[in-house]
Amino acid sequence: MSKVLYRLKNIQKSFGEKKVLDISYLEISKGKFVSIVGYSGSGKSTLLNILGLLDKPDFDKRAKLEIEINSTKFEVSFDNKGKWLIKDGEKKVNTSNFRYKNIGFVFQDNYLPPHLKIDNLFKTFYDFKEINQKMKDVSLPEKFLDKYPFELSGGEVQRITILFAIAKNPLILLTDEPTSNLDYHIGKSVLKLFQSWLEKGNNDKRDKRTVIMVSHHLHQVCEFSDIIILLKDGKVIDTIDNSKKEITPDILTKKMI
Amino acid sequence: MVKRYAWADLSFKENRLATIFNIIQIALLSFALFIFALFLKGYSNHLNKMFNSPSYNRIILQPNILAGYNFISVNQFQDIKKIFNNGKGPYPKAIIPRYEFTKRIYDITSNIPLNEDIEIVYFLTLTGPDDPLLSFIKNSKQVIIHLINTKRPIILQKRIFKIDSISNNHMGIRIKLYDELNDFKVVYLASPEEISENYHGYILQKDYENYLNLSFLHGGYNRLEIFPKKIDDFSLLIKRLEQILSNKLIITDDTYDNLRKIESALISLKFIKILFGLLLLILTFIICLNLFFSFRTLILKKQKEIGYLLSHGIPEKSLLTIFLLEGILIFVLGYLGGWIFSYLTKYIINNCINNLLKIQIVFSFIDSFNLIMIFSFLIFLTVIFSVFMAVRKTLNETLAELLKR
Repeated sequence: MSKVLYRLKNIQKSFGEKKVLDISYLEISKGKFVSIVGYSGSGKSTLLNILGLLDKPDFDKRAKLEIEINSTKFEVSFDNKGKWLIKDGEKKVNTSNFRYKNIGFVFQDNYLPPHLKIDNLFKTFYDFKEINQKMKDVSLPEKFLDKYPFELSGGEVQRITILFAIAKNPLILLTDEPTSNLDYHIGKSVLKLFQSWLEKGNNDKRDKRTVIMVSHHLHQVCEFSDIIILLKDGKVIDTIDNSKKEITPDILTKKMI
Repeated sequence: MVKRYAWADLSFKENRLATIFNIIQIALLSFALFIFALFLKGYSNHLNKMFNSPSYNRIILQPNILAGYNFISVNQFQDIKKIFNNGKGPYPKAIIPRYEFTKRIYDITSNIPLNEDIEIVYFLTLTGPDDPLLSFIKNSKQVIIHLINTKRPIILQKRIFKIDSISNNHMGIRIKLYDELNDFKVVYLASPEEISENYHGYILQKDYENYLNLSFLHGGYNRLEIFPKKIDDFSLLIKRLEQILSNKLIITDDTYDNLRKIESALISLKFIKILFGLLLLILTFIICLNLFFSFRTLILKKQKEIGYLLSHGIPEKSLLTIFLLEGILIFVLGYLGGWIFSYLTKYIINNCINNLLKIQIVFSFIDSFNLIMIFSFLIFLTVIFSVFMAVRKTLNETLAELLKR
C-alpha cells in the first residue's frame, strides 16, 4: 500500500480576482496527524474544504486531485454540471457514498442542527445501539442523547460533533479549528480524542486513519501533529516532519514569517 | 443508510409555525374551493334539474275548438312524432293522449299481463265518477305511483301503496292507501283538478308506444303533453310544431312563458359562475405564489443543515425525497382539513339550514368533481415545483458555501 493519501497538483482557488490558494504540488501521508497552519487568509480552510470535497478548485486542465485509499486511487474532477466526479479508473464512484465511507468532518463553529435532538441526529446515519457504547468512549453520558444542542455546553457539543464525525468509522478526519472556542484543557482533551482515534486505526484491517487539522494554536499543533504544513498567501511554504515532536511554536512562527 | 424520519423531524420542528401556516393556507384554499364548487354547482344543478324536469318542462297541446277542430288526428300525431324522430330524440320523452286514453285504459290494461301490479300512467286522468280507470284501480291490489311534486321537482318518488279502499263522487275521489313500507294508512281526497295542479304521472317512452300502437286508440286525441329533455329545446320545438300544425292546435300551458324568465336567471347564474371562477382563480394564484415562496424560504433557510448533512454523506436524492414528502404531507393535511370543514358545512346546510329556511336544494360535491380536481392539482403542482426548485438551487451550491450560511 502506498503511504500517500492525498496528491494535489496545480490546485488553485480564487474568490473573484483574489487567488486564495495556489498549490503546485502537495502530498499528504496516511496514518498521520497532519496540521495545516498559517496566518488568517493564508488559504488553510480553503485547502481543507478542497481535501474534503466541500469546495471546488478553479478549473485548470493541469489540476489533479488524487485520493488513495485501500490501494485504490480515486481521481477527483468535475462533470459538465460542476458536480463532483470521482473515478476509480474508469468506474464512477458515488460522491455521497464516498464521503460517508471515508471522510468525517468536525467544523470550526461546533455546528449541530439546532432543532434535532442528539439521538435523532445519530439515528439519521447510524445504528443507535453502537452509539450508546461510543458515547461512553468519548466520556459523554447517555442522557445527552435526549437533549438538543443548545442544552449542552461548548465542550460537550464539540465532543458530540467529533463523535458524529467518527461514528461512521471514516479513514480521514478533517477538522477546522476544533479547539478555537474551547479553553486550553478542554481543547487538549479534544485533541487527545483525535489522537486516540488515530492510534486505534492501527488495529484496523483497512487502511491507516489520518487526521488533518487546521489550527491557529501553535502549542497544540506542535504537541500533537506528526506533519505540519505551512501555508502563506495560499502557497505551501514548508512541510515539516514533527514525528519526534521537536518543533516548537517559536520555530513555526519564524518559518511563517 | 439514511433514515429519513429523523430528517423529517428536523424539517418540521425547525419550521413549526411556517409549516402550520402552510397547512392552514392550503386548508383555507381547499375549503374555499370546495364551498365555491358546492354552492355554485349545487345551485346551478338544482336550477337545471328543476327546470328540465318533466313536471316543469312540458308543453300541453290541445285542439283549437274555435278553429273547428275537435281532435288531434292520428296522422297529425304521427307528424309530431316525426319531428321528434328527425330531431334524433331530444323531445319525445312522453306523449300523453289524455281523455281518449283514459276512456280506453281499462280495456288496454286488461289485455296486458299487468292487471294486478301496474304502473299508473296518469293517475289523475279520471274524467268523472264513471271513469273506467276507477274500476281498474278498484280491481288492482296495489298501485305503483311515481310522484313528482312540482314544488320540489328534483325529488322523484316511486312508492308502492296497497289500496285499502276507494270511493268517488262527482266532486272527486277518495282513495285510502296503505303504505306497507312505512306501515301507515293514507287517506287521499282530492278533485282531479286539484291533483293535476300538484302531481303528474310519469311513464317510460316504450310503454306509451305500446299503448299508442293499439288500433282502437287511433280515433284521435284531445290533448297531448310533450316533455322536452332540455329547457333550451323549447323554442325550436314550438317553431317546428307551429310549422306543421298552424292554428289547429293551441298551447295551453304557460310554463313556457315562465321558462323565459328562468332562462334569464340561468344566464345570470352563468355570469356569476364566471365571476366567482375568476375570483377563485385569483385567490388560487395568490396562495400558490405564497406557497411557492414559503416552501422555497423554508428550504433555503435550512441550507446550513443541508450542507452539514450532505458533508457527512446524506445522498442528494434522499434530500429531495424528504422535502418532497414533507411538501406532500403538508398538502394532504391542509387539503384534508379543508375537505372536512367543507363537508361539515355541507352537512349543516343540507340538514339544518335547508330545513329551517326551506331552501330545498341538496348540495353535493359529486357535481363539482372536475372543478375541484383541476384546482387541487394546481396547488399540488405548486408545492412539488417549489420544493424541487429550492432543493435544486441548494444543490447547485458547493458545500463550503452552504456551510457558511
